[in-house]
Amino acid sequence: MRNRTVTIESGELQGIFGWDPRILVFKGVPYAAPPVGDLRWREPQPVKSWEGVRKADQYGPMAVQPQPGENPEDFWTRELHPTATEFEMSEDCLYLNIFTPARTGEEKLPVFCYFHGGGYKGGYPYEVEFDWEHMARKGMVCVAVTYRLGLMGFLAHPDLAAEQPGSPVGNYGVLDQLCALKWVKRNIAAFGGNPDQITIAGQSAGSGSVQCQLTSPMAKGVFEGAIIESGMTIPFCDVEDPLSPIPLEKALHNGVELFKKAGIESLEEARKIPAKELTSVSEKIFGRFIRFQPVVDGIFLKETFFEAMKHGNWPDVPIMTGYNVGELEMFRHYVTGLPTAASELPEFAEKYGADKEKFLSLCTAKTDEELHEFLQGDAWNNMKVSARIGGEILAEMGRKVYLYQFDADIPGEDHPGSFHGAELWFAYDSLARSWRPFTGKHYDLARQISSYWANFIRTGDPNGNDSFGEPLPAWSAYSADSRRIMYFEEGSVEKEVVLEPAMELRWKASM
Amino acid sequence: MLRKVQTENGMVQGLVGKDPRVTVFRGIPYAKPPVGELRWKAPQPAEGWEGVRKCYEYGDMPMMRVHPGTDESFYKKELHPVAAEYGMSEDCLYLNIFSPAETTRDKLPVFCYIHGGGLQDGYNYEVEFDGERVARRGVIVVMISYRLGLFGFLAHPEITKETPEGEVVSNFGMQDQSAALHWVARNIESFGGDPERIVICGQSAGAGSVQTQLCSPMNEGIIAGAICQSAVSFGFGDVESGIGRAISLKDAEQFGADFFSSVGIRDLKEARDMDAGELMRRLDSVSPKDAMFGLAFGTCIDGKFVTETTVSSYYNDRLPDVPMMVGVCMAETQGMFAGAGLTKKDIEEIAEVYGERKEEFLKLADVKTDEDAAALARGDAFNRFLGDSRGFCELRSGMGKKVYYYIFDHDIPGDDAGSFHGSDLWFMFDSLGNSWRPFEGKHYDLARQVCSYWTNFVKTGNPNGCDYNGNPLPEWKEYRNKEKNVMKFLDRPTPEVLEECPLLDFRLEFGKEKYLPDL
Repeated sequence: MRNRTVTIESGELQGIFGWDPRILVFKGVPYAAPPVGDLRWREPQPVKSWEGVRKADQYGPMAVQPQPGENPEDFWTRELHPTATEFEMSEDCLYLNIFTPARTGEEKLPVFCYFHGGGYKGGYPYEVEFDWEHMARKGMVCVAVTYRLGLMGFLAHPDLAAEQPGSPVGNYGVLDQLCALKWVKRNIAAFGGNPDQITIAGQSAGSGSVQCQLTSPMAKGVFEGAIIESGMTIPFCDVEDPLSPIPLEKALHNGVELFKKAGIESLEEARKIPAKELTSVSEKIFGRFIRFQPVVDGIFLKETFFEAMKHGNWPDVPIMTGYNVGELEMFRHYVTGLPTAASELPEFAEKYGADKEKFLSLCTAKTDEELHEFLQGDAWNNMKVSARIGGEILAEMGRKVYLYQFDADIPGEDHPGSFHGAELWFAYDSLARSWRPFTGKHYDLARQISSYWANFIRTGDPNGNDSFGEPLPAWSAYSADSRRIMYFEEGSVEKEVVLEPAMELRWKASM
Repeated sequence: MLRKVQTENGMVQGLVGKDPRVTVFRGIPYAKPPVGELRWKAPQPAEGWEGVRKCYEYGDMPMMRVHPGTDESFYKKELHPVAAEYGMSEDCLYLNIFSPAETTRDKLPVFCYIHGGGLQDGYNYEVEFDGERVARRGVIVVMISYRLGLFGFLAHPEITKETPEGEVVSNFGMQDQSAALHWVARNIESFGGDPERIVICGQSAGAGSVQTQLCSPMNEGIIAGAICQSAVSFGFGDVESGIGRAISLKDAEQFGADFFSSVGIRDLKEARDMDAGELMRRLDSVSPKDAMFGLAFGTCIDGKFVTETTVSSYYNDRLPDVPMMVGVCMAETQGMFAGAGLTKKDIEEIAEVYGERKEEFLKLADVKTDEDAAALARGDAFNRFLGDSRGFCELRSGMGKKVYYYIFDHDIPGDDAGSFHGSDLWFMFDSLGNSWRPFEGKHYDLARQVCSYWTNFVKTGNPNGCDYNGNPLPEWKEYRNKEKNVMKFLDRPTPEVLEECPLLDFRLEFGKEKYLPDL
């Protein structure tokens, strides 16, 4: 790595000094050919090599998406996208950014590969809440990936299936991620990384992405650990699961509907419409709902996350997962099949099969109010119960799984609580870049949380010392013998929980 | 955000900061590379360029006798963890600018920082100089580079002779700093800055530089405030103990000529033709091994840029009437930079300086043993840092000028260095995250406050106001003769009032008599 230059499969690359000069940063490294023109809605293709030294000093464009950061007063603008309107946006977006503390290229450091969130239709890897330099300082090579979003990344359409027989359908965005992972495996040694020690992570749709890679038969053996932040989602009743892949028919239907409503006659025509225009048309038609997301296409994904888990199609890698208390209400809404009146209870109880009576003995609600109160329980809280049931199932499979619940006090005049994404400032040690009035105690907590993350990335186990060499409070793997969850509040404290009967019932019923 | 800026030399493009609300321009040339014939000449205007210059890379570090980061020293770990990878060359006159501006109409105050290193070492992108946090507080940060040591401060009879009438014959490093300040005054508006509100700041030799710039007649009207960290080298006019005391041009020329002959250089032409690295090797060969900066070249009274010692400027009040902030780190006042201390014999020798008032001095000093003398060297009356800083505050406030005094004495984790020389920088730049030290929440809390005092001062000439989170800061009162206020940075900002120090007053009186005999 002399003169900050590395040689990779496609040519020579020169990085720049990070803001912390101990870290070398390689920005905008192409990992696939630009997915434009005929390559739109196809699996990512190999990068064309270049001559001479390519300067890796600028981030690549963000994937085409509804413009983030337009309204300066918007919560997410202030939180994640303060200057996003000036960043380039383009269909030509398959670039990744590498942050390495290595100097010789011989270091064999653990590798951390991150997929941002944003509902599979927004986000970019250089959002303000990620401090990859701080993570790299903890002794790892960090890779943050841009992947295709929205209908550019997840359009399924019968014409596509016909055009590319035997190829995955509609999963272009997650195929991009897989392509990036394989690129990392082939090239990361040059940056001082160990290609056989890759941990993947993501939050929200990033966590959905991680679960796609965990459950895809095409992604076997390309990583060694996974962090699923907000989080696991387990369908039950008629859960409208925002992160898990949707059935192929539904995806194809969405594609056909889009073409119809947008007046698009053919794939050829669709490929000619500029990506931004197409995206805004799709936004107008489908509104804020996520319609383009991973698909159970039978090739990249053969089943939903939960089915894969149920069937044991889940790799034997350590998992860390959890949720934020303040986001739970938001995700509770995705549970749509629950009874709304006490009179519906007998019919609903049928879903429990043989355990029907057990369920009715637990739920003795006579009035709608009592039912409402009953459904406030943890067992009905989608994000929370999913983490717990996921923990139960994985532990039963003999997998190592670490659960957390994040509920730090988040300052700011908007009193946001531990909102969806709040943990990112802590996990990725980036508090200094937030507009929020964080104080010393938050820095102390961030040091602990980011150290747990770093330890997990290094060893598959979050335990060990913090970045100062001070021992961290113990965090036990979750198991039926010892149901322990790490609570991040004022500090980090492990607590024992019980498997509530209602939760156990849902688990059994969902199996 | 203002990512692309038109300067007088051409268009520059900055990097999106680590915090994207800040734009960072690395390596903007503010003068022509002082190489070849321009070695040991005044800085010349930078040449223009066509198109957009991408300012993504730092300029080279100035030539130093020892390449920083290549030895295993305390400061390597502290400030130069990867400096061994940086280029070092004479072509070093570049600025780094951190700007939070959104438009050229923002008119933000400007903070120009001059790094330390004994005028022999250092560079403007050391790991503690992350200007983003200062910039986030609504200030444009400009980090200045300048020629050091032999290249920045050689004086020589031949140079004096060749210099055209009316130009400055030495102090090239100081002229560089001044050229940078003038460049900023001419260009900073395009970066969203206010050329009328340029505050200069420096630490160690940077603080010495700030004083030289402040007192130089060649910077008239461009400095709106000044901060001297560790410290003001005041000198009361009695003991030659100050840091960076300017020597006469004649002495400096002699020093230069002696250097040439000691390393076998015949004349200026040979010296100019010599490879910079070779010059440094020769300098190294004659440098005393036990001296931190080796054979050091410093500021001289050239008669044009530097017209008198700073102490003389101070007593005669020949510096602009701008608010100042000065202070020290507690551990440095007792450490290696503080000098060798005093013995009873030293005190008796010093007493002679005061002539008729010798007995009065001895009575006030009240030194019976070497321990008494050593205690004196540690205290406000005679300590090189504490005494000079406080003496300066006494003098300035006595003239009705605004001056704020601080003592930084926070607990510094990681080793037993305490509040060492430079430890304040991590706090004033709020750049703790770049340090190897195990800084915790309480340090972040203090850094948030210290950095806000600094930026408040840059904005208004008064450090008071709110911290970054919008919480009111403990009040930091001006130093006054009648109320000797100091802000102590302990676990938290702690205002205190210092006790009277009659011996300090005595020294000050002596200086006044010496420099202002008409009073």
